[in-house]
Amino acid sequence: MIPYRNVVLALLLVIPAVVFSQVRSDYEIVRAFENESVAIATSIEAANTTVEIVDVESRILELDSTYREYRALIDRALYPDGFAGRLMKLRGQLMYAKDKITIIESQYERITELETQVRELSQQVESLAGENAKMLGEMKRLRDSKTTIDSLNAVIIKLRQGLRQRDELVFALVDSLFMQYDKDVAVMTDREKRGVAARLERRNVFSGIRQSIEDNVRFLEATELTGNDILKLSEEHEAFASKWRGLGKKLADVYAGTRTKRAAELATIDTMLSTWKGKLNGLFWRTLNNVFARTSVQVAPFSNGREFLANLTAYLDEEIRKARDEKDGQRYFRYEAFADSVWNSHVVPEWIPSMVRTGGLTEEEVKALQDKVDEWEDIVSPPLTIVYIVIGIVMLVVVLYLYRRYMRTREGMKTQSSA
Amino acid sequence: MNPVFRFAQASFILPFVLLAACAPLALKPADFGWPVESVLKADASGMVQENRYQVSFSIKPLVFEEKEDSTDVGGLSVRVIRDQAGYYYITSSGFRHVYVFGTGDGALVLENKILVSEKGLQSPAFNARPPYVQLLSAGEKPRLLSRSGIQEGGR
Repeated sequence: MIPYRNVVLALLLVIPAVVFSQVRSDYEIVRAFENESVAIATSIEAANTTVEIVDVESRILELDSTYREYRALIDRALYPDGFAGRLMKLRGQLMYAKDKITIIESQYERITELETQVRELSQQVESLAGENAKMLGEMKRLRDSKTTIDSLNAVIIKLRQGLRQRDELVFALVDSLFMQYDKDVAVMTDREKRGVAARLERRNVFSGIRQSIEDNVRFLEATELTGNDILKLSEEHEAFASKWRGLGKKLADVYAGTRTKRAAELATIDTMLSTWKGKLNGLFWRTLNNVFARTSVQVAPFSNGREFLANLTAYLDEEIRKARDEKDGQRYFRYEAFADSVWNSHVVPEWIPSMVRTGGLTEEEVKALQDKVDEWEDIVSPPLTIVYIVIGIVMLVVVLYLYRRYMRTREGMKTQSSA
Repeated sequence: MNPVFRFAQASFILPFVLLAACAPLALKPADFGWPVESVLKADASGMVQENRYQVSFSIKPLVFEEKEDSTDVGGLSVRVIRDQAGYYYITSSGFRHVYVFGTGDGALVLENKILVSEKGLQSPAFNARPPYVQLLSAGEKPRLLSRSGIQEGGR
């Protein structure tokens, strides 16, 4: 039989250092379990509505699932109750409290259903937060390695989905939570408001929303996007901001008159949303400036639609003037660099549609720009191909005519000599 | 039987019989280990009290040994755990050592003083990992301790 001591040592050698750095002390685990079970017991005593009872029931379920893996430790540490004993006591207390409160069964079922939804959403939000954080790290790693573009793109797509999904879940969670109360926050009693505040706290709603915004901003900082991508992200931002406006109002009512840090945090989240919007806006124009700079097309820098229009128009006017004045071969290559590497390949398909949709440019202004590009092309382009074709056909006809004439002369000479 | 032979035989066996009679009675195996550490806060006089196992002792000499000053120990928290063999491991935030004590006559008697951090431990904690005691400290790799020193995870 392998000695116990050797097994312990072997396990410690096998488990990587990363895991070591996250080791949680047994004392901390037992204390957290104990504190939560005491808090639940207090809540049971204080409960006198169906919502509160359902909420406590949900907390007991969570306590059970969160600490089940530490059952053996808790059994040893919390003598004589142990893990199962403590939960049994709580459930007994809850049953007694339920009997005390007259519960309308249909209402109870509906609230239980919503609470289950809240619990599940909360778990999904947590797990997505972890996955998204991992993907952000992975994306940075792949970007630094500069070798696996396909993998990077796959991570970016997955991460974007993850971020969007998490944003939606956070708001769905809050909606389900408020729906249980079946009334407007403005007409809730102070006790009910305190209940809502406690549950928002326990579900980490504030940190969930902050985390969502921070992750979205980190995503923007770590990726290079096209105008159309940024437009989609702007729409997602707008949807988020709109949901927050609805929720923010409710939360303001919940925390009205209180001096909690959460009341102040409402304004912080507003500021974070503005920062997110500012980042999106800045990213749009910065990336578009880079598109020109990368190909050495010297359009003066711009930071909004008006400047873009003015600076690009000035650039095109100048190039058209130069093309008329200069007759060297370089003028065609300059046009080609602009048209093929920037205008037709990036700006028109990836940036112009989003500028038009957001009102940065009008259709007429886009047409005016395109007309200038076409005018430049006309000046620098060699004669049309059709001209070459016509010349070719004419030359072919001439050659054929000359050949036939030569053949006839030759045949005439042969006839004469044989005669 | 020859009396001389009998005497010789008796004088050969007697020491063994006496030796066996003098050896203390030992109840083995025994396990004194605590499943979880205790965090004990000192009162103004430097006494700490562990309620579940009913142990109390003064930490003044310990603080003096560590800091060479024990004038202000009131409110200081120490982390204590007992291993399988019955030794007490004690440390606290900012300590450079883990102290291992055995039990004496109305006292805890220092068995070993293990240097675990040059800068001082940050938020230390003990876990029971029989036959060892695991030491955790923020930003450091967990280490396995026995009464004789660091067994695993030392620098």
